[in-house]
Amino acid sequence: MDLLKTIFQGLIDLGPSVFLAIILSVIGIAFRMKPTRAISAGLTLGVALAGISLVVDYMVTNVGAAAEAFVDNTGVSLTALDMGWPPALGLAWGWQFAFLMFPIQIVVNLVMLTFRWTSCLNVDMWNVGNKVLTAFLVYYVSGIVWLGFAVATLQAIFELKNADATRYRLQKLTGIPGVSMPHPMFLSGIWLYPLVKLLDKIIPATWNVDAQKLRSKIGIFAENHVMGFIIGCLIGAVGGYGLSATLTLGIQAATALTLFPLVAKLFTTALTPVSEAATNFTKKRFHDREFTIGLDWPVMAGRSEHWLVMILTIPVLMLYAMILPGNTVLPFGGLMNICLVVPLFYLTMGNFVKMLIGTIVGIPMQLYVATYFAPYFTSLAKSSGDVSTPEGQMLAWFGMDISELRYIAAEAVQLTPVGIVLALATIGLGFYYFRGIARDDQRIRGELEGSHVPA
Amino acid sequence: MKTIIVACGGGIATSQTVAVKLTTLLDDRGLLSEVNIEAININSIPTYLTSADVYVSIAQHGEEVYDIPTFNGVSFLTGIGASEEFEKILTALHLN
Repeated sequence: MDLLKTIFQGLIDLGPSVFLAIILSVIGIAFRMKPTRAISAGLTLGVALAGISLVVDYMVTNVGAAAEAFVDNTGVSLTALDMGWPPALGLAWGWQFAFLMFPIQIVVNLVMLTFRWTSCLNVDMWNVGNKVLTAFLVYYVSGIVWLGFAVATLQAIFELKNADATRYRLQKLTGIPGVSMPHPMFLSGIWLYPLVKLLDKIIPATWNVDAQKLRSKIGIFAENHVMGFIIGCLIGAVGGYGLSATLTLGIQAATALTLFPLVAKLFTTALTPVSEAATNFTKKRFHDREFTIGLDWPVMAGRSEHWLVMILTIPVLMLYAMILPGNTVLPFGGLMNICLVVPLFYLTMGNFVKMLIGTIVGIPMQLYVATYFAPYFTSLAKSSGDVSTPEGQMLAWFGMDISELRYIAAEAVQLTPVGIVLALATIGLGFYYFRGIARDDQRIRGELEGSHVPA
Repeated sequence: MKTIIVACGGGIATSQTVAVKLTTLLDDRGLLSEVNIEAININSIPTYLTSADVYVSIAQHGEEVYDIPTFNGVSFLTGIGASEEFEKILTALHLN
């Protein structure tokens, strides 16, 4: 045991990118991948982590400096730069215990399938990273590693339950039978459900817009380089930069936002072969069972409502960030508010008006939670990516998939009064939500089976 | 050189997963040097339309119809019907 510990510690001491490369290669070989492919995957993962650190560092150097000028010039203290989900989840892989989440997710899924507690086979392995982040954040506030994984396990369980309870909803929205969505952000339904029910009562069903037409006009703003350029120029201009410096900052901001996905997809490249092996391992054990395949949310991304609401609420988000007292987050990498807009799309069946209202109501909470967690992300960037932020500057992630639940979990494990009260409220709302959403799903199932379902 | 585009919310996770699977399938056929696969942001499709030969969609329902041959990428995620869909893509690219 001591020897094992010494070896493990020795590996960790080599640094996160080396450690990741080695551990993924070993896992790949253990899953009987060809050694060359396993080592290639391992190296790609090391490159992905080093690469994402490079881009975060680039963002801190250029956009971060401008953000400081922005603060000096306006007196509005937005000192935590939002890096968005690709770096936030990417950096989470650099945490030394990250890889434990793979077997945990697989075992949870296997056990729940065995006892028929779920019919969802989750093949979305990218979002293992999301649970890694949960475990890291809980560990960070509590100092207890197992507690981090306990909360992450709870998350994995409820992701599957939620996928089960909404499978016909998904089928109606995508036209694809036999799939479900165990993505964590849909657990935001627990707190959003009462709001959506209220909106259902007060907003006439006829209030909607032709999202596709509008989006084809303004969709260009959702392209990373265009969005980055505009926001970079705005930060520079408000920060009192001259013309050439402002435009240069625009290009630099566009560069950061364009490079994030290019680098972050390396995580997918590295992890896909291993997750495929893991999925096959699970599938083989349940070959005679009917189950739904758990996929990531973009199976719904063809609909225009998502993108239209995200683009239209960017100015609202910036305004909130400027005027909300106590907010320190400057939205940047997470400007496209996937984490709130997509769950609202799901809950309202794509009703544009309700999504817009829900988003405007929810943004302040997201900003405050991002503010709350900024020190932890700053520390994660330091420990995982060796990214140093200047004195007084921090990094954050605006959105955080399930902002409210992460905050509640972080407070609850510290047993603060706020945490306990909110955790109890979540349990109550959870009962209400799961009962309601399952009932809705049966109604949708009836509609689907009554009419002809496109295969 | 033919180009396949795959799109999802960010061009990072789902689309890249499909891209990796297509890469493996092409590699097994020895066709990797003839095809370039790009995982992109769904909002960037119009930018890529001129250079792409084939679009593999994972979100066809409610999606705008584009001017290039479009295929169902979900089958590569679920594994169901993947080899049939792959053959169709090869046919569209005149590679089989």
